[in-house]
Amino acid sequence: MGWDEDKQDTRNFMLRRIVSKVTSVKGVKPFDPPAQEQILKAVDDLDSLGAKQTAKIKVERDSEAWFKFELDLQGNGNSDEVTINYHDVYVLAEQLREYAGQIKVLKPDALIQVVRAGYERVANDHA
Amino acid sequence: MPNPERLDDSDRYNLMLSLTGFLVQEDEYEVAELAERFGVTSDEIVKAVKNIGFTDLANFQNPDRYVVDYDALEEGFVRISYNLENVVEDVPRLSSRQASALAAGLVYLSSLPGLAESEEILALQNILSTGDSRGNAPEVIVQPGSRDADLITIRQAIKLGRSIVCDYLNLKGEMRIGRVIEPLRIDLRGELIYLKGWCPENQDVRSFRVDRMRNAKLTDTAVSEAALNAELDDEVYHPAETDTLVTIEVEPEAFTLMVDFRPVEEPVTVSEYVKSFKILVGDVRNLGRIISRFGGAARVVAPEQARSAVREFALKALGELPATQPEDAE
Repeated sequence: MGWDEDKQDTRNFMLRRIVSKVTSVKGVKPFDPPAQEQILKAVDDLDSLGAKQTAKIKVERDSEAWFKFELDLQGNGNSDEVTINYHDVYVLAEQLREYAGQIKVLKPDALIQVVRAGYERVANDHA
Repeated sequence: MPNPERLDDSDRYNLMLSLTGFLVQEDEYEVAELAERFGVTSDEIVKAVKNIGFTDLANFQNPDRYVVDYDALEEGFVRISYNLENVVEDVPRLSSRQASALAAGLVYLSSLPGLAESEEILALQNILSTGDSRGNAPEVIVQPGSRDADLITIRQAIKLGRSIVCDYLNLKGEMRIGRVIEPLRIDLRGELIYLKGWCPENQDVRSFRVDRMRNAKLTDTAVSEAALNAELDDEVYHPAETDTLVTIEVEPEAFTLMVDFRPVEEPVTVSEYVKSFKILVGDVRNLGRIISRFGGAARVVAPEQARSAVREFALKALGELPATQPEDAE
């Protein structure tokens, strides 16, 4: 979590997306460290984002995905649908793409599109 | 040992340091006793002790850290008391970077099976997440990892030197019930946790993905001699002669592939954000799901047979080819 100078707002940055060497900026005045309340609020916001954003997928019974999403452990009767909380639609799409043929994303639309766009790019890249 | 008759500045400095360390227990010594112990004259001991007392003169903020009993010194005894409260308050604080590194390490440790509840780790995480004793704001937030029942069983089994029995979903997607494994070591590879264990059935060491395991249970059977004598290497995958050499290009989102699959040689930088590496693959059809996962951030460059396996997987996912799994997929 950090302050985004470009957007003038707090933002969450995923460490694995930072691709360059991290250096400190010279000639910029040092910033005041955030108060504890601010830090705790930012963590709460991140948690509530995850709690708020849910995806629904349908899973083929007894497939590897069935196992992966632990539907075998849930004892939820005959339901073959699973609801997943997520922070980042791109990260979830990444996790879902390898189960092609075993799952179907039901919602949200944004996730359906990101998953599909990924397959399209892969198909084109290997055409 | 310094020449007792002639000490240079460096000898004196070293003598002071040694004395400080020696006297920290606050025992009382005779000057002559110390002179003999350190191999210097009594005069040098007296000088050094006085110097220890003077070091505080340069520190106006925290005076009286070392309190030399000068009366005792006159009578030939050395007695120094230490004001440890000041010393403890003066312990340097961790920099943000150091605290973050520690926190990340602790999160990693607490994510390991059986360590999530470790009191030492929790106590350290608590210190890091609540700031220091002077009420300064914390610099990091620590979230403990989750625990995993199967991993805890495995750790326990390794500790006790006993076999486990579990259900295991192999790479072909088949669930084997009641598979016996003699656990030897837990390996972490990228996001995956492997159990390196002796497979009594194959009489060989195999790597098992813990996330594909269910119902791991401790047995009463001790790990066999063969297992204990087995050579453990760092490879999860053992290439075979029939393997295909595949060249893959990755963008940062897929750099993890270079960790998950050990490249046969150093990765090559293609452009600012693209790296290329080669891996040995047993069945190129498995590449479809591995490469597709990254939605374009990973590409198979060669051979053509591997490229078409990936294309086929993506097209099937898009519904443009019938979605059938090959019967002998691994």
